[in-house]
This record gives sequence, C-alpha cells and structure tokens, in this order.
Amino acid sequence: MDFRDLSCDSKKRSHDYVAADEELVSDRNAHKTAYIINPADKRSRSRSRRHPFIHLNDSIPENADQVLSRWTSYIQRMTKVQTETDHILDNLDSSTVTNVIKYLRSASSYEEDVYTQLPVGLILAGANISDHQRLFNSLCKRIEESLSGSIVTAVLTSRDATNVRDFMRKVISELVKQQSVDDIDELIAPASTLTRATVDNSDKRLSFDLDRLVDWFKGQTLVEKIVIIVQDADGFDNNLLPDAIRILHAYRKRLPFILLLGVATTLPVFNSKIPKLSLRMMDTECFDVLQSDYGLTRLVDDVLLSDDMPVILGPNLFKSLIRRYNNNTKNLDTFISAVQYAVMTHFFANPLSIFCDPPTGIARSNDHIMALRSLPSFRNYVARRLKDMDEKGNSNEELEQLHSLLSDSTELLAFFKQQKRFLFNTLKKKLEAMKLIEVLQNSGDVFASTIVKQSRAELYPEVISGKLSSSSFLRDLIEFLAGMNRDTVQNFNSLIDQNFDSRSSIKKLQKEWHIEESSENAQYGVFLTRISSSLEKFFKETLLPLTDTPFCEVHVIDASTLYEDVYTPLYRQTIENALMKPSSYLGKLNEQDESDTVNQPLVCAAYSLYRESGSLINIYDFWQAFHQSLSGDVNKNGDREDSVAVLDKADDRDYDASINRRESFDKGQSVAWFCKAVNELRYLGFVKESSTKKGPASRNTVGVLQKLAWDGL
Amino acid sequence: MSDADPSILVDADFPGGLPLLPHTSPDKIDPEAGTENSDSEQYTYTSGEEDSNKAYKHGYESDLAIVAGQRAQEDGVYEGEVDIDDEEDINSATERIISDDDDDNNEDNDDNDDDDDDEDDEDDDDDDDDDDDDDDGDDDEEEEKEEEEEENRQQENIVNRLISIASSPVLDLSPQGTPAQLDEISRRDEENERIMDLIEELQTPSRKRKLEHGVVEVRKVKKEVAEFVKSATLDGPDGYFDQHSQKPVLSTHTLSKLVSISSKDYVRAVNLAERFHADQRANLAQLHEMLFPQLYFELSQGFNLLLHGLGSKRDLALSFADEYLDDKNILVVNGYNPSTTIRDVLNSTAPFLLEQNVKSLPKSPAEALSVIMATSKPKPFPFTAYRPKIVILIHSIDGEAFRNSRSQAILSQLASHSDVSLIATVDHINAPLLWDSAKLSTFKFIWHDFTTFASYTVETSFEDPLLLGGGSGATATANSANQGGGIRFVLESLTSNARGLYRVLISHQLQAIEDGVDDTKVELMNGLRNDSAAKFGIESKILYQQCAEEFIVTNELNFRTMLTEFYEHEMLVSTKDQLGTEVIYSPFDKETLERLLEEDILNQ
Repeated sequence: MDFRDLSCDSKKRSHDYVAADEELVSDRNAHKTAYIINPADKRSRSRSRRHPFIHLNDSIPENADQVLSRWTSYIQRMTKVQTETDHILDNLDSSTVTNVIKYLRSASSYEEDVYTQLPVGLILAGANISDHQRLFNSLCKRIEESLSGSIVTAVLTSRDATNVRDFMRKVISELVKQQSVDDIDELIAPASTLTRATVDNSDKRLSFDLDRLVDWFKGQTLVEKIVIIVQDADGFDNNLLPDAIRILHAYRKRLPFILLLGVATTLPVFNSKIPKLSLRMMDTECFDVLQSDYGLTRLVDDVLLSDDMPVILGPNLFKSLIRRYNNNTKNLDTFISAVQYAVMTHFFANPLSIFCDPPTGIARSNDHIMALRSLPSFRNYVARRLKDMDEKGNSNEELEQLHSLLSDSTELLAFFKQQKRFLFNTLKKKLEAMKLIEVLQNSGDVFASTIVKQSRAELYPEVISGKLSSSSFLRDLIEFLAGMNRDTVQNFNSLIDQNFDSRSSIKKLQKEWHIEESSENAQYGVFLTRISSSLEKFFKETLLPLTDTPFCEVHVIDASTLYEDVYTPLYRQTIENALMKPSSYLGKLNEQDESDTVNQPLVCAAYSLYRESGSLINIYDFWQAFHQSLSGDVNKNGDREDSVAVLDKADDRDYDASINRRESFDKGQSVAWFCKAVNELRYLGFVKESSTKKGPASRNTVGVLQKLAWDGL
Repeated sequence: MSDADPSILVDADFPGGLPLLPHTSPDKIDPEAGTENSDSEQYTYTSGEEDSNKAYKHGYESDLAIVAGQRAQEDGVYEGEVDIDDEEDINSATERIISDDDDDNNEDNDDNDDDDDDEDDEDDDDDDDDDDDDDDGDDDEEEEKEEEEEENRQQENIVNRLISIASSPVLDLSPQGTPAQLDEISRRDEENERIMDLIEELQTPSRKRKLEHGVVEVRKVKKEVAEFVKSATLDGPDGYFDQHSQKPVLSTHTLSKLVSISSKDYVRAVNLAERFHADQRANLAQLHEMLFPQLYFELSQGFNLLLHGLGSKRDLALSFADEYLDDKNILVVNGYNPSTTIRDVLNSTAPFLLEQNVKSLPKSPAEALSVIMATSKPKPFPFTAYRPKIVILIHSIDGEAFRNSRSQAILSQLASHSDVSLIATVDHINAPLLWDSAKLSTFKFIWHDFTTFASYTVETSFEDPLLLGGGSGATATANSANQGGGIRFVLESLTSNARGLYRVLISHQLQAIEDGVDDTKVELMNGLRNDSAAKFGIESKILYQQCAEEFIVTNELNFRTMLTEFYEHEMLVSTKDQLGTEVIYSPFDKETLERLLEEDILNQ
C-alpha cells in the first residue's frame, strides 16, 4: 500500500513524548492530518458487487435471483417515489418563485429613472433555515430559465462577507465572473482569453470598487437588471446591511440593482435591525413563503398513500417521523429521506419484500410460502375464522378453504394477491375519508368552534391504525353532520364537487344523499339523518385497522425504534450507559458480581468515581479512589478474601488479566492507568483540567479537574 | 488532614469505600421486568464468549437478523432444500431452525418483543403485556380444539413453528433500544422499588416494634436508604442541584504526592491494560462488523454515516473502508490531530472532483468550496450503482480542528456533493451541538452505535497523558516523567541573576528539609505554618539579604520583580505564617529540587 502523505506530520507533539508514543501507536498514518488510499495501490480483490443487497439466509434461504429481485423492485419503486417527491418539492415554492419573478420583471426599470428608492424584495422564508437553500436554488434556476440575459444575479450568504468591502467584492466578482464564463461559451478559445485579459488588465481600481461594475455594465448590452440575492439577511453583522443598502442606493442610477433579502425572522424584527435612514431608501415588497406543512399534506396524499409507494408507513413509525418533523426539523427533505430510509430497510432486511411486486418469473421458494403462512397477521386471521366458525357452527366448506390455504401454495398466493388488492383499495378509501374529513372541517364555521381541526398529518396515523373510527373526534364529526344548517350543506356539497373527481366513492355517496331535497323544509330532517348515517357507515367501512389484514407485514413497516436509532439516537446516553454499565456491551465482567469495579474497563472505573464527585475534583484524591477501586483494597470488612475467591473460580483469559492486574499491581501502574483513563475522559469531554486552584488551607497548588458533565447549565 | 477529602469519592462508612449504584444482575430483575430475561435464560451457551454477545444482542436483533443468516448457513442448517410435502422433514427442519435460533440468540417470541418495546417506551404497560399473552393463549387453544385432523395439526405445528423463524427477522426490524437503555430503565425501577421497600420496611408495624426493642440495627437500614437515595441522585437534575448546592470543598492534596512514573512505565502499563477484556471487545467488534453490509448499502444510497459510542472507532472504520470500499478513492482525515485544518480536507478532495488544475483552487476555504461544489450534480435517488469519486473518512469529525461552525458548514456542504461519501466518527459528549438543523439536513447522517470500548490511544496521543495536573507546566512536569522539564524551560528563559535567586532559595529549602524533623524550630514553625512545604520555606527578608550578599540583586525593587516572574510560573509560593512574616518556598518536592540543583542550569 502506498499512502501519499499530503501534509506535514503533527507539529504539536512534544518531543519528550514521541518515544512513548511510538511504542503505543504503530500505525504510521495515525498522526498524519490527512492521507489518501488509492484503490490502485491495494491488492485487487475482484469482488463483484452488482448490488449492495445480501442474502438473508437467516430467515429464509434465498438464492441470488431472489436477492436481485428484491434489489430491482427496490430500485424501481424508489425511482417512482423519488420522482413524485421531487415534483412536490419543486412545486412547493413555485408560487413564491413566480411572484418574485413577476416582481423582478415589473420593478421599475433603469431607463425611466423616476424612482428614487432602491427596490428591495423581502422573502419571508420562515425560521426553518434548512429549507432556504432549496428555495433560493429553485429561485435562481427559474430566473436563469425565464429571464436569462436580461437579469444577472449575484448570490450571497452572510458567511461570504464580514464587512461591506467583502460584500461588494463578492458582488462584483460574482457578476463579472458569471459574464466572462458566458463569453467563453460563446467565443472560441483564444478570443476568450483575450476578453478575460481586457477585464483584468490595467485596472488599478480596488477589487471592491463599484466603478468596476459600472464599467462592466456599460459593456453589457443585454443586461437590464442586476439582482443581488442575500440568502440570510439576518445573519449579517449589525451595520453591514444598512451600509450596503446605502452604497447600492447611491449607485442605483448607474447600476440597476434589485436586492432580494431572505428573512428568517419576522418583518418587525427585521425592521428594527435596519436604521430608518436606510429604510427610507428602500422600496420594499414582501413575499411570504408557504409553510412546509402544506408540502407535508401533499406528501401524505401523493406519495405515502399512492400506489407507487411500495410500503405503507405504520402509525408508530409515522408518528415518530412527524414528531421529529414538528418538534425539531420542520424540514421536508429530512422527512423524505427518513421515509426513504424506511423503505430501504424494508427491502434490505425483509425477505418477504419480494412479494411487494407481482412475480417476475422468479420462483419463490417453499420457504417463502411457509414464511407467509407463519406471519402473525395470517395466523390471527386463521384463528379468527376458526373462532367465527366455532360460534356459527362448523361449516365444512370454510374449513376446506382454510385447509387449502394452509396446504396449497397456489391457493395461498391467490389469497395473498386478493388481500393485497384489498389492502391498497382500503388505503385509497382511507385517503378519501381523510379528504372528506378535511372538507367537512372546512365546510362550516360552526365546526371550527366545536372541535379542534385535525391536519392530514395528525389524521394519518389514526386512520392507518383504525383508531379514528372509535375516537371522539369522529363522533363529534357525525354529530356535526346531523346538525348542519343549509349553508353548510351547500358549502359541503360544493367542496365535494371541487375536491373529488367523478369516479371516487364519495361522489357515489353524494348521489345517494339527494341534496336537492334539502331545500324542502319537511324533508330536511330526513335528509340530515340520511347523510349522517351514510357517512357514518362509510367511515366505519373505511377506517378499519390496516394491521388486521392478513399479510400486512409484507406491506406495512412500522418499526419506529429503527428510525429513531439512526436519526435521533440517544447520543450522550449511549456513551454514559456504556461507561456506567460496560457489562451491557461486554457481557459479564465477573462471574458473580455485576457491580465489580475491579474488573471494569479503566475508563468506566474512573467514570463511576467521577459521577459521585462534586463539580471540582482533586486529582490526587481522584487517583487514590481510583487506585483503591482497582485494587479492591478498600473493603474494610475483610471482604477482600471474598473477591479473591471469586477470582479463583474464573478460569478464562479474563482471569489471567485480572491476576496480572493484581500481581503486578503497584502504584506506578495505577498512576499510568489513571492518567490513561482521565485522558480518555478528557477526550470525551467529561473533564477539563482547570487552572490549578489554591487549596483553602494552604497556599499550595492543587491539581484539579473540572467536571464538565453539567457544563453550560 | 484525612487520607482523602470526605467530600469526594471515598465514603468511609460504606463497605467498599465506593457508594456505587447497586448493580442488579438481570436475573434478579426478571420477575418484574417481564419475560425478556427468563427467555434469555433458556439459551444455553457452549462457550463463555457467547455471554458477551447475549447482553448486547438485545438491542441489535434486527441488525443481526440481517447478517446472522450467514452464520446459520455455516452451521449447515439450510443445507439442501426443505421439502414441504414431507412433514417429518419439515418438523425436524423447523426444530433445527428453532434450536439454531436459540443458539443464535435471536429472540423469536413476539411477546418478548412487545415487552421490549413497552419497556423501551414506558414502563407502565405491564397489564397490556399480560393481556397479549392471554389472547395468544386463547387463540392457540381455539386452534387446537378445531384442528382435529392429523394433517391439520401437523400443518398448524408448522405454522406455529415457522412463526418463530419468519417473524423474528421480518417483524423485528427495529433494534429495541440499546441494551444499556433497557438495563438502565429496569435498574432504575428496581432501585426505586428497593428504596420504597426499605422506607416501607422502616415503617411497618413489625419493623417498628422491632426497632423499638432494638432488634434491628436502625443505622444499617437508614444507611441503606441513604445510599439508595444518594445513588439515585447522581445524574439528572437532582444530581445537578445536589452537586452544586454547596461550594465544592477541595482537599489540599497536591500532585507531588503522586507516584512519578516514566514514559516507559506508562507504555508498559497501558499495553498491559489493553489485554483486559480483549476477548469481549473482539466479540463486540465482530458484532459491529456484521453491520458492514448494511453500512455499505446506506452509503450507496447517498446517505452518510456517523459512528458514535464509547471507544475508539478508528480501527473499525478503517477496516470497513478496507473491506468494502476497496475500489474507491478514500481520503482519511485524522480529525483528532489538532493540526488538521479544513484546508487539508479541501485540498486533498479537490484533485478528485475537479478536472482542472488543482493549483487554481482559491486560497480561502469558502471560495475553494464553491469551486468544488460547482461540480456537483443533483443526486438521483435511489442509486443503482455506487461510484463516488471519493469517500472521505473523518476520524473524530468533532476534533479540535473542526470545532467551529465554519468548518462544519464546509464539511456538510462537501458531504452533500454528488460524488462524495462521508464516513465520520464522533466522540465528544457535546458533539451534536456542532450541528444546526441546516447542517444536519445537508449532512444526511445515518447514526450507528459503534461502542467498542477500545482505548483512545491514537486519538489522545497528541497530548502527553502524563502531563496531568493542569494549566501550570511547572506543577505538571514536576510530577511527570520528564521531571523538571517545564521548570528548566522557564529557568532557561530567565536572566542568570534570577536563576541565582532560585538557586539560593531551593538550596535553603533543601537545607531546611535536611535539618528537618528533629529540629525544634521546625516543630515550632510547623505549628505556625500549616502546610508541609511551607515549613521549609525561607523568610523573604532573609532571602533578600542572602541574594544581596551574592550580588544577585541590588535593591528591593529588583528583588520583587524577579520574584514576580517565579510567582507567575507558579514556581514560587509566598505565604504568611501566623506571626505575619512573609515566607517564600518552592512548591516542588525534595527530589525535584535536588535534581534541579544538581543540574548546571542554575549556576550558569
């Protein structure tokens, strides 16, 4: 192997320590800053890896084709899902972007010279800064597409500029460079170098002088407006933005600037940051960005409940995703990637995911069939059927049918297909039910005052798990239906017309209601009863729990802990638990005593002492306690023989180690181990060496460690 | 002065000296905690090493389920096809499978999984569990009753048996919380219960009667209660207020008391320590290695990996890169090296991502990044083929070098490049604070618990571990292997007169130590000066006189200036005895002083 060392070795190592260090660390790459491993340098293993899926022989013996089939159906399904989500995300900001572009077009043009103010567009993008990137990207893309040539843009973030000079330099370089790149595209190579040279040469002005830009602008025939986009206007230091605005304002007659500011805070907050002097120079226009919650609703409708989605997110998983979305991220991208991850795990780790797609000629082995039969949902189904038969009296026909399901694989597969169709049909109905609930919620003013409205995201887990059908929310809804007034009914009716196409089952229901009859006074009561009972029936039918369907395990993924472990792990708790209870990772450290400190890993021994200490720890005392806990010497009740006896019983290598620990255990060694343990605690951020404190009684210096576990509280 | 400061660590009343948390073994927890443990007891282990897997596996079922199959295959369970028509074959096969599952310690009982879940979420669902159990029982009975025909029963057996095979991997995709969490929860419950029991015990009539008659040792029980209460408040908000309610009292033990060891001793001791739990750690690493195919899959789908947990993950990460990314360019960044810079990363990455000459890369990292990012194309998901131009492996992405938001912003941008994959390890307990939501969403991390318990030998090798004891080089070096190094360094930078002053001081101090113990004057002084070193100090007036005699100082001001220098380096301590006389002494121990005096440096 050949490692290219790209940078100097560490300089910080103290020369005294090198000797010791080299004995401990034999890897000569360990102390480089960065190095590269090239595949060419490595021994070729020629491992053919067509796809990253592995055989899940643990549960069902699989052959290569079956693994491949899981992989291909994963790819196919995910591609569809991805196209759909991309589509949603792209369109999410489209209305804002369209408005902004309209504004850019209409903003008072340069020639008219009637305006005295600098046109500024404030894009109120909301507090979720992680979505901003996408918004501005799509904005730039759209500007480039629709207004290419006439408008040039310079995009800045607060990181780019710490003072006005940087700000201007960045603006100029962005614009000039942009244009020269365009030139290169148009001209042949030698000419392009020429144009470049003319830009750079013989210009003695400073790089942040806007006069440079004026000159450049004179040379541009197409450019009508110069748009400066600041992605995070809140991020600048206090005076930068007002100053920049003043300068741009001063140049507005020579350079047709338009400033677009992304604002993460609210308008009043932003206003308070800009002095009146600068505010007076601005001709502002605000653009509200749609909250991403709308995107979430679209996502639930068009992706999660669509046919393309290979698996259904179970209620627990969805709740966990939505909890993180609402409380932490408010970021659709993260949400989507979490959904992707869920699907990934399904195809990667569930051998039955091979059933997600219709058979493509790849034989499912008998093991697959057997596994299908063994699914709890199927088992429950069979049990339920048998129970029913028991109650109603034994019917041979049904028993025969059940028997064939258990013995005949073609029967089972047919049943599976039927159930799958049923499942996805129910899903569609559930979506309609959710839409209907939304329509109901919007149809009357009365509704909002009596019941708390539920969003799509809130409804989803309830609908999937079937809990909604027995909820008080639905009861209130039915009650509301029974007491609708005429306006509400009309409203409801028209909303249904808007929201559902003619093929949907809601439309069919609507016809049954005979809404025209509602105008007759006498019939009105009857009509209301009819509509409420018909809808109640509809909800009853559609809101069955999905998890009751046989084989739902193949289609529903509901492991919330899986998601939580990889996205929101208990990071610090993991470390602390490992330190507190190493046996949960390492297994029993000692045959008898779980709390045995003698056989703990060193750092754990130090940590358990650390937990008990106050906020400042005297190093010497710390060591003393450490030494005692290692040597097991502290038992004043003569328990020591006992612990030795324990050791005698052990006969594995651990025993050797502890014997070694005992026999060669001297103070020097424990100091070394102590140094190592404390050093690791320090590396983990638990302690800091504070400047040596003066002991209270004397004026002597005392080595002290500061406890950082509570740091920042 | 006591042996150790009572406020810290050693509680003399407590047998064992360390009021540790009462660690209860899982077996004891069992009756309350549900069937989880009783089930695991059934497993028979042929070798001791399985033990370590056992505890760990609770949380890793799914991950194991993915890979454990390979082992099963090795064991020869699935040799040949299982013929469904031959019932005996099926039965024996399923039996084999089940027993194999037991060996492999995959918990295949659904009820157990429920228990795990419930425990993980909340601990109040015991009733639910019971209900579930009952239901299942009923179902079974119903089935048995109905399925009278021999064939059917056989079939039913198959169904029942196969449930154990299929359900575990299919349904248990979730790790049910880390084993540590489960243990922690059950441990806390146990603890609380015991506290409650003890408190109750104190109050039961019989107990009261006994107490009145002095039958039971009141102190013992009370002490036990106190212990539990104390251990319960080590962490969490209670712990915080407990430990901050009073100003910390520090004992006056200085580091000079610590046995000094050389670097060689240190290395020997550490190498010995590496042997502890070597087997268990190897097992743990093996379990992690089983996850490698999954890691590769996640990487290949455009996610980036973040490995966390206690212990150095350097070796594991490297071996993953070696085994699975052998056909990729890998940039290994040692983030733990304090001299690593974000520029190193950008400079090393650029040649792989840019077609143009690297030398044109702008100087400022932000601009360099924008040049690099210009080559990024939108990532299509899912990836059908995994061909990143470069994989960046950052050991300790939370290392000193990257502990600012600018570096992390650059790294997160870089990680989102379409041709870049990122594998990072993270160690510091506060590391997640580095990332805001925007950075996290661009990083697109998948987190994995890779607790290894391996020592951070490489990571911590940039600081001398023996330099323990803090900010002052002098105190630290005085106790460390290269004794006097720091002092020598300070002395070298001073004038010869100042060195002379120090020589006078320490020779006087050594003389005082020599004269030492019997001297009545010292005894007297000892009463006046309450610190051990101070009693050998020299009165500042005498020191000044002596220095003046040797033409080291010319006037009082000069003398004071020199002293200031030493105070600042904490090589001198000035104190007043009870008579109000100013006494100056050097805080180092006798050996250090002797060595200093022997060396030429003070005489130059």
